[in-house]
Amino acid sequence: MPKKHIVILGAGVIGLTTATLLQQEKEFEVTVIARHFPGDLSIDYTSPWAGAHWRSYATNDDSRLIEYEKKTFHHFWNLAKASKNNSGIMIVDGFDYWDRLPDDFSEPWFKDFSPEYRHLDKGELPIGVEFGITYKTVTINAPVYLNYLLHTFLSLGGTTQRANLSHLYDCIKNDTDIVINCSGIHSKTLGGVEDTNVYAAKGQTIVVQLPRSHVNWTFERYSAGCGSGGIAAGGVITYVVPRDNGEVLLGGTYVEHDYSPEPDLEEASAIVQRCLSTRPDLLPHDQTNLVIKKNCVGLRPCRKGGMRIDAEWIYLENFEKKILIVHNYGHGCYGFQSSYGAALDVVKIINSSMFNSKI
Amino acid sequence: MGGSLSEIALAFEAAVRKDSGNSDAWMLLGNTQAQNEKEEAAIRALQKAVEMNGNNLTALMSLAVSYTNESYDQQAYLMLERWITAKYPDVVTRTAPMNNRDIHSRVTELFIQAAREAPEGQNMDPDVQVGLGVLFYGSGNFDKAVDCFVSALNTRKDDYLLWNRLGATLANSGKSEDAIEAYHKALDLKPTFVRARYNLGVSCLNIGCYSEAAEHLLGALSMHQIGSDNGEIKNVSSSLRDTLMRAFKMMEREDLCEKLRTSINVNQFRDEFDF
Repeated sequence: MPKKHIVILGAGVIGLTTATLLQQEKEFEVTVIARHFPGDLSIDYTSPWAGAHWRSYATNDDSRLIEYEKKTFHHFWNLAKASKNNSGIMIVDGFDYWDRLPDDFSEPWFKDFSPEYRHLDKGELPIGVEFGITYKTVTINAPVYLNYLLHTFLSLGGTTQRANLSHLYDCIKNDTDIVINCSGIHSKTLGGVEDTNVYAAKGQTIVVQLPRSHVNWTFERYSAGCGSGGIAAGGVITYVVPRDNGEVLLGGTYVEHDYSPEPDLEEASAIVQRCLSTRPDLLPHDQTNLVIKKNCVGLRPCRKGGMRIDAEWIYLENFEKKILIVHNYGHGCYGFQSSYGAALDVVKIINSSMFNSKI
Repeated sequence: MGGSLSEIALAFEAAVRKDSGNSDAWMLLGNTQAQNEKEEAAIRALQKAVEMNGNNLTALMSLAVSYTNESYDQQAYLMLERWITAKYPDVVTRTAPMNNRDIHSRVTELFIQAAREAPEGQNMDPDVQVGLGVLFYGSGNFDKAVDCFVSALNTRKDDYLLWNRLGATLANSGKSEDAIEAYHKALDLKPTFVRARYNLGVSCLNIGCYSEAAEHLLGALSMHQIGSDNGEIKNVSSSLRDTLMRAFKMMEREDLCEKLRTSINVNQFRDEFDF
């Protein structure tokens, strides 16, 4: 059987993870087409701006997302433990803090999944925090991990092409068999998709440089307006995500339908203040203040109804052939932590679709 | 299991051993193997049938279908060209030569001409529609192929082969639910039709119902056992076995894959699957 040619649109964490998993299968030859690749910095390219750490927001009845995030966690955990770890992933203590214990609080689904999950004792809670949990989790140095994915994909024989497409079908050539849309936020406007359920939730963060290994924990703090589900529109959320190279990312904001690329400097200093007041030990003993290395703004690719992962056959008259169109986008604020499981599902969907019936 | 396709195939095999020059016996053996989801064996027998009688219309058409299933598209179009030349020589002589056109468009043009000769309702030749359907199917034009098979079914409502062809065409154009309906029609007409059951399994795989797919595929495989019911199968259909293996993989059941690698005996799966 000749290899099936797959074109993937988008080189964010979703596109590159999907590309890598498919290129590993001997039946497929994958090309990633994108406007931006790892190393690029643009408001149109969300992934490098991500925190990122593993903290599930899946509701207890969202079995699909839970499955994705479980699989991704195992994958990240193994990468972090690998003897040669060049993926930018590290294992840390995770903390979730609630200023007020929500009336409707119920244990998150990962209570029985995350290693060493437990409630925090009163003495362990920061000032102003009423309730908290802790568990082992991972943080991901987003730019490093994206480079790692791209490198892995290329070393498996995958190819890339830089292009700015206005229609999904523009990437189809004579030898194309499968197209996978991983265009994230662009699925809102991309021709052939134009998903009106897609919208941006702007997030602002700060990167500071600290001595390596000074921070070996990550936290999220839910203040006024946050429900039991954690991150939400209108709520004040604060988080710290350390990276393997000593960079520490401080966040954040969550503003729906805001597409502006400029950071708000007042907001930036408010974020720093919130982080320091939650965990004063963020500041090394020999430093009097945190030096901002970079202000970051990213547009989370959100989607009403959650991420879209499905497939459909289309027949293209001008090529006289049928093409499988697969979608994998709309991962909102959980793109990294669901990326591997979602990509595994795409591989499964494609493999299922490849069986031919006999006339 | 009396009257299974495997047993019928054995009978035809005995017949061609006795009379190896009998084109129709080879044709019947080939058709049985194809229905039994053993395409390679079908092609070998149908090639013999055509070798013994170059104008065996049924064998030519069946061989075109089998070649299409195996993606030997050029050979399939050649068989259809031989079929139309044998059955409608006038159409071929009256149609202007089309030496500069590729074989697919040339043969398609001849079939369209033949279809025009017989206006609908009057002596419409359903085999011309079937041939056209195969041609459109081969080029991936499934909507037109569906139209042809549906049109042929209008005059041959009880043709289980046609129901299966319609189903497979629908399935390959992504209409799995409609396909499943057509397969059920075929199986109502011929419960021992292994290919339709195999296709039913494939459609279940396509829509992500892996366990159901495995049941249909096991059901199809069980029809390959001959005589006693100890579950052993000889001359296993590789497409059935491979597809079942993929279904187990999709179920993320390495234990079932290992069982299947060790033995093709279907009885070892009966405690978990209903078939």
